[in-house]
Amino acid sequence: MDKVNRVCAKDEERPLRITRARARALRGITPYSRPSLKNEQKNVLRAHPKRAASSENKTSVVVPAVVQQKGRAVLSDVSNMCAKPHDKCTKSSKFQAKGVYTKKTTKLAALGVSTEVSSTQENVRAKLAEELSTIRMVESKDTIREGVTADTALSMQNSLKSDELQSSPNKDIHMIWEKLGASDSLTIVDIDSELKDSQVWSSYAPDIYSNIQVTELQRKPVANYMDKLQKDINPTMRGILVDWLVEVSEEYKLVPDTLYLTVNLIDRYLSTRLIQKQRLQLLGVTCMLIASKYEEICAPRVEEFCFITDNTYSKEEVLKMEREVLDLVHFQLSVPTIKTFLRRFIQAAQSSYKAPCVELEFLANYLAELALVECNFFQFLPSLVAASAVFLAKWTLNESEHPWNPTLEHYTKYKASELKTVVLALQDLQLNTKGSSLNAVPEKYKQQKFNCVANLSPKPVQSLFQDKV
Amino acid sequence: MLTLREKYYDFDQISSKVFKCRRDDQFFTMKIVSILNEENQANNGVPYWIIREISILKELDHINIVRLIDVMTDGPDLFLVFEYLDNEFQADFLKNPKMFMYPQMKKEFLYQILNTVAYLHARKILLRDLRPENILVNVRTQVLKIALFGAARTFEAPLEAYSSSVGCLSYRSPEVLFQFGCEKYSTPNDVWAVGCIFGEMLLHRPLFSGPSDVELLDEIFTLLGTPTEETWPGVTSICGTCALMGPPQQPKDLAKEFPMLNPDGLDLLSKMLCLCPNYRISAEDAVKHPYFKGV
Repeated sequence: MDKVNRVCAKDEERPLRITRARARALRGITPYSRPSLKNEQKNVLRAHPKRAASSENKTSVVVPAVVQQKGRAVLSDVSNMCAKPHDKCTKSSKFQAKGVYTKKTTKLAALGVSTEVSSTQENVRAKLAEELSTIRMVESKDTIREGVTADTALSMQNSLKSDELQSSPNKDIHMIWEKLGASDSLTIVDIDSELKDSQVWSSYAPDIYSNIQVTELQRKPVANYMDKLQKDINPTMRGILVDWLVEVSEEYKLVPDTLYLTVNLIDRYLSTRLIQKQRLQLLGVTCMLIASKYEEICAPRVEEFCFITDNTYSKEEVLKMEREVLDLVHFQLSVPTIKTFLRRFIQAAQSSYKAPCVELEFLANYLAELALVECNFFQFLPSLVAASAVFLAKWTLNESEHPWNPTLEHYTKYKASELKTVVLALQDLQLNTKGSSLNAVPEKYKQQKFNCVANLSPKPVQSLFQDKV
Repeated sequence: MLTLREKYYDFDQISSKVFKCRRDDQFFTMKIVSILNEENQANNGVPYWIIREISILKELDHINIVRLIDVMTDGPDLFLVFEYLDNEFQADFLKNPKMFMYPQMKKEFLYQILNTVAYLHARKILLRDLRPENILVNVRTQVLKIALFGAARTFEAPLEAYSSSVGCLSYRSPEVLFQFGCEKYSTPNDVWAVGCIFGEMLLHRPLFSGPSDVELLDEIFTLLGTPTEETWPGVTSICGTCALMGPPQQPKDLAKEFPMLNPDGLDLLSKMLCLCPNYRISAEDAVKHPYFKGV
């Protein structure tokens, strides 16, 4: 509940007017705190990432004099250097982000983050603040829709087009800033304005994701059904079934959503209905048939699902089971799965790279699919597993930098510390510490088309979660 | 668990597959969906469109959407129980002669349609087959209801590929009509359909009515002009072949085509019928358009 009830700032505190001079003094560093879910419902504000720069007299913005800040999860040294040779993803500068939100750094030292800034960087920042008058403070109504209120965030935005930027007299400063990494770890990027179809999507994305984060709580399978209900099957059997279904989905080239929905249906069925082990595969193919009908443009026919079981089950048996499953789940198939959140969170993670990093996407998907096979993971919310997969994927690709940042915290609504249990469990799967023989997912992601991401293995992630005294 | 006959009674046939029934002094509309084909074979189980329709309707609770109350199974049939709409609700709302009595009424109904579409899009749902036949209207109470979600589906971003052969031809957007590799469409497709309905409300005839994709595109370009890389970035790569584009045409003056519309109305119509889906107004923004001031 702490996450839900977090208070960003006291309502009664008198706001302080930020002038250009004060903005310079602040050097664009402004408070950032994750909003409460309650606030999120109330403060549905639209971002206007492409609005023209405000005139001189409109640049002031109201912020609270005092901002309450909770201690964040401990971070290791934050740098912008990529250590691994396979990390082809380079960091983006502040100027490439379309909508940027910056975070107060006052407590960073206490959190274990190095706050030393070279004199060059300090000078560059001062000079930038002085000379780049086109950077404006976005008014409170322009802050991002997903609940970042005027009290909790100020937006800094560069109104220059990239071509204007190149020809500007401050070009050298921009280049130096870019090389220095532009304190990228302290910004929240408006990821919706980055999309090709941003006009289409950005107006709905915040609503959609606040809706589905409510829905995921309602459609969760019973966490311990294997112990509580099932007598004839065990987690190993479920693992074998899902592992096989991964192969089936590859064979029939099904969209990833179909696989995730299939597993969701299997778990929801097994949460409430006793099943004999000889009918477990029947349940698996039936759930995949239903999921295919829901997700695919052209779903495989019933006969094909019978065929892949070596005709162990007849068409009639599959169709009878189809009705049984649909009745049991009350036809409620619009469920947020790990994949639903993964799309969003990968998008948020990509915002810190100049060019999209395909390895990051493949690796996060790989880790998420490993979680599908493992029985212990459905006790966690899909959004939590998705966030943890992104965390571990980023760490695997670049161990020189802490994988979590304000953008990811903002869009996932999880602090790094909240991911600990799932990240550690995911890394066990990634390193196969238990010596599992289920290899459909690793084999799939060892293929060249997925850049062989299953072959990557990181240093233990445990160190990121150790509290510093 | 109660059987169908125990739960509902006083069945009154409205059409071959639709019944009026009651439960606890409340009326409902029951739609029967048979899973068997003509040869009484359970061909491929529950049809995909039924699975989608039920699943989507279960998520929705909006005054302008026909509410699904219950789903029951009896043998090979599915029984969908909807809220009952009395005789005052007329299907195919543009065929209702009373529809055009007051200009304000058109605005009110357009607002309700857009409001509903915005609600659906915020829930990750594409209608894909929005047309007058699927809209019921009670002229007296001025309440509109959207029915038939058989073509609807959830969508993702970044966009996934969806079938490009959905929806009534006259209301299909240019990006769907350009079938060459353009299966990735999204919410603007529904907004285009609303724009077509808006035009139809004003002209008392379908805005575009070409019998085929190519002829329909030609009609669209005759009114709105042939798209260029400036007006629709990437259009040349989308359409794949210039044959679909036809000879270049200049857009017509919408003020002359729709003299009954005020400047705000013309602005809204042009934004809903913007050829480029990325530049087309969203339903959410359309609801806030100055045209609806006072609605």
